[in-house]
Amino acid sequence: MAFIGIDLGTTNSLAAVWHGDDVSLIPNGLGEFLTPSVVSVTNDQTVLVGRTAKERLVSHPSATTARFKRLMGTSSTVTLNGKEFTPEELSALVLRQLKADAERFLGEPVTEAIISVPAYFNDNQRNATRVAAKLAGLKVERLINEPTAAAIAYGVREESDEMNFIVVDLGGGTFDVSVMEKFDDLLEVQASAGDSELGGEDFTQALVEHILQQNALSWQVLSLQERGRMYRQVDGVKAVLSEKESAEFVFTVNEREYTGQVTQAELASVWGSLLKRLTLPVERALRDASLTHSDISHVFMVGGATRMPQVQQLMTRILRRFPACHINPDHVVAMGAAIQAALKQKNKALGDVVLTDVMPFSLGVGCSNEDGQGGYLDDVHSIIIQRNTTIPVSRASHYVTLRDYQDTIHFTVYQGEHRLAQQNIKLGELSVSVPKARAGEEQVEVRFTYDINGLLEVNAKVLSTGVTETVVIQNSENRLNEDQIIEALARLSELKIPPAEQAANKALMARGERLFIEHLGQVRKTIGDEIQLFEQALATQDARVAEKAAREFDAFLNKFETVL
Amino acid sequence: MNGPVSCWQLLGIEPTGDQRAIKKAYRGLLKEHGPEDDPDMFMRIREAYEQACELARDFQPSKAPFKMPPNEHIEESGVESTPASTGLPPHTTIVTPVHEPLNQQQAEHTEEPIVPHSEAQEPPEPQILQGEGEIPEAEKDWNAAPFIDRMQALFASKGWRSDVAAWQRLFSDAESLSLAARIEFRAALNHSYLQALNAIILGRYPEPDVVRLICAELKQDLEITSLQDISTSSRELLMQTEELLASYDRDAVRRSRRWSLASVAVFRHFCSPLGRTTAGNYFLTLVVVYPALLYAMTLFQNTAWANTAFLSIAIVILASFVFLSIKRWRDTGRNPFLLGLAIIPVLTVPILTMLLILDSAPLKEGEGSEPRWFLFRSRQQFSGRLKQALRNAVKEIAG
Repeated sequence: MAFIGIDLGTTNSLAAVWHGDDVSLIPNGLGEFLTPSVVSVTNDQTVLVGRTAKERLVSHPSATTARFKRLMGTSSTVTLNGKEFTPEELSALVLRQLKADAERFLGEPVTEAIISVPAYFNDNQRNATRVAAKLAGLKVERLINEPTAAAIAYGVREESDEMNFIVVDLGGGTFDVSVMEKFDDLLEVQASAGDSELGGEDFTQALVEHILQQNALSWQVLSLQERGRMYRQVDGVKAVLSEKESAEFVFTVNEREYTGQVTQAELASVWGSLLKRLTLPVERALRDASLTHSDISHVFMVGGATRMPQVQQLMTRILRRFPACHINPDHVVAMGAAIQAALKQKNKALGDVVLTDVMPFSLGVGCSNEDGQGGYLDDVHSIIIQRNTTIPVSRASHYVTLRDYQDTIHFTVYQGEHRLAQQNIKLGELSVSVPKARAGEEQVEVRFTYDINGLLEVNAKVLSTGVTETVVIQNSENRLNEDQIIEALARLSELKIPPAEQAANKALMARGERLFIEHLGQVRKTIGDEIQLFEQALATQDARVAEKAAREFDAFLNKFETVL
Repeated sequence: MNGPVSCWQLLGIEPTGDQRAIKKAYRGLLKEHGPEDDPDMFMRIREAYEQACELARDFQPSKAPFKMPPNEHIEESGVESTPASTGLPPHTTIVTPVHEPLNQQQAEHTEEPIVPHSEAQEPPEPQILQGEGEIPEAEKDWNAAPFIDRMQALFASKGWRSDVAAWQRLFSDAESLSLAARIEFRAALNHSYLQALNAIILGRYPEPDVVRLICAELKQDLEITSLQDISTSSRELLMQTEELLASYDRDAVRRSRRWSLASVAVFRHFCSPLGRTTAGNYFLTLVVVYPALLYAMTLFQNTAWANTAFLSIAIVILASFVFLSIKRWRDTGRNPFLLGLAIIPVLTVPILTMLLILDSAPLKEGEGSEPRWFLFRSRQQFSGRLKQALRNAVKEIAG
């Protein structure tokens, strides 16, 4: 029975496990640590996950999907090869793949996991992640915030006993900032802030749109295949630009060749507004922790997108410190999750590290305030638990009746920071009956209890009678109920999974197909011939022949693989 | 302190101003009562810890030169009797007035002695971090002061209301400020802007683009502040400026409709149903135009045209009075028949001038009801009045 940590990312996912006295990353069937969070469905209803599926983003765009983490917690669905999938199901497929890889690597069944989510994920999004884990057959007691996980990975290794540090996590799809304090073995999150709609993918998308605009094209005119190819190429350009002054590449749209050219100066203007959005959460987190940059002794960068020099420069400038990323920024979250799993099992090697986390949102109820002129301001968000309060927490506020002889008080629970209740996310409702009296004479105490697993219990007590109403917020239309989960499980089990031994060959074949599409003319024909040869070799069912053919095919494909 | 157990008792330490000691006690307790294993106890410990930290902050100055009598009991009761919510440092009840100013000054800086204290004990930076470490303070663009000076100079200059480019330059340069400097800069901006706005009583308001720029900068600060923290003055400022911006937008619509030609304006004021006639227009008509017309009439005396001229000018004057009366009625809703006095020439002109100027302030646009072509504000009012009159008549006849 193993207990693993999983980083379920927008672009890549990976799993790690605490092994003896350190973390080991779990390689997938192809021997790589990172499994791209891409799902593809073939014509015979086989599900492909990871690198193989990523190659198919170019060759079979309508049967393949990526970046579905962004849809988590919403009711939108994705159609792959005529089959509809919810984002929970797609995440479940990735988790199932990770689980299978971990079981092969560890040689024992994996039943429990800790999954990381962006700190700024709201209640709906967190719940969707839990459902995904359930669909993948994993027991998930705790979700861990990504920057917190990263902080554990860094914090446990860091020698110094007392320090404040800040973890900047720019992943594929989300941006999180956490201000942490380490004191002996106590790791405290002091404040978290973020932007759940900002990530490395936005930077790529902005660059794609800029290059298309340069060539008087637009995203809309591209076919699905062209989009996939373009995105892939620009991703490469992004990597080149992190080292070089400018980059140039050739792309084909509608059988015509175009040249895209990007310089650093252009990049600065294209990404200006995105970079600006990175500042706000940092400011907010520092302010909520009532610290200034001079109190911060380390800045840790997490997430693949923090490799961009522009992001590093920005953080250096605003925090006046060179960021550190000596643990691979792609791996650190999964490592932290694995350490948290080990902590939960009271692993001896870790001693007794205690971790406390905060709630990144404010919680409150809608109410009316006297405006001082005899009237009332309606629909004001009265905050009961301030954001960045250490959890678990229990806080109460008192409310009085508004009108004479009012017999019930109705509370609507909101999550968010806006002054007006309506502008926040509604979590649930609660009504209490009060004895009839003059306005303002009946008082109700509303208590919010937020536990470490993110469950909110709302408790309203009428002070004069002692009557108590309680609701556990289990809200929302998007939430799947038990029946729906069973139904989704049945649907997922219909899908076939290719055996692990074939994973490498499948990936190789998908890569061949992608390169076939990316090239034209004679080269395309040669690739086509090689694919056929490889297929024939596989068809012989002879392991040795297949292995030799795979090696040759791989070497052949490498010749055509250019970054740009 | 609330509850039977004080936060110090729960943490198991004597009241102290030493943050580290409190943290240590808190840390020790968490070994047994972690948030995972014992959430209820954790919540109590956490609350006690936060309370203790709060009290410790106020506690700090009491360690200053004039140390309190080394009597534990007094010290403790002194702390306990002062409710934390009053915001007064607990020692103020004991300290003699002579020391008060010194004490206050220290209270303002209570946080500072703590921070360097913990920093001093920090071990050196690990070697593995390539290039890690504090960047020298000397970097000039991290200092907010020059920007604040620039901003204040801009407010002091005459062009601050309209020089959009200068503001744009300032804010785009301020992008390079570090976090703390930026916040400092905005606080200063907030202050100066409020002052500048308050200084405008009858003067010209700044250009909308300037207000928009300043608002955008200030709003960033409001966005990162949690609701409770926003001071009333900032919120008022924001509301004030947003209202101002809205009025600018209304103005812009109106301005876009305005014809610039003077002749068109005259036509608009006197001959078209659009626009409102102002007191200045009446004055112009009655004091300049009519005397001029009357003077023109005298030029034709003793000529063959005398009668024709008298008639035509009289018709022009009368017709314009009729028109003016209708216009005034429409603009202000006031009784038009007084203007019938204009039939008596010359004598009534000064009276009418006074009347029209004093009693013809047009309704402001967007204020009150729309201009009306009827005697009554609405058809409902008209029918209501009519019914009332009929009812009265019926009553009278029946009575």
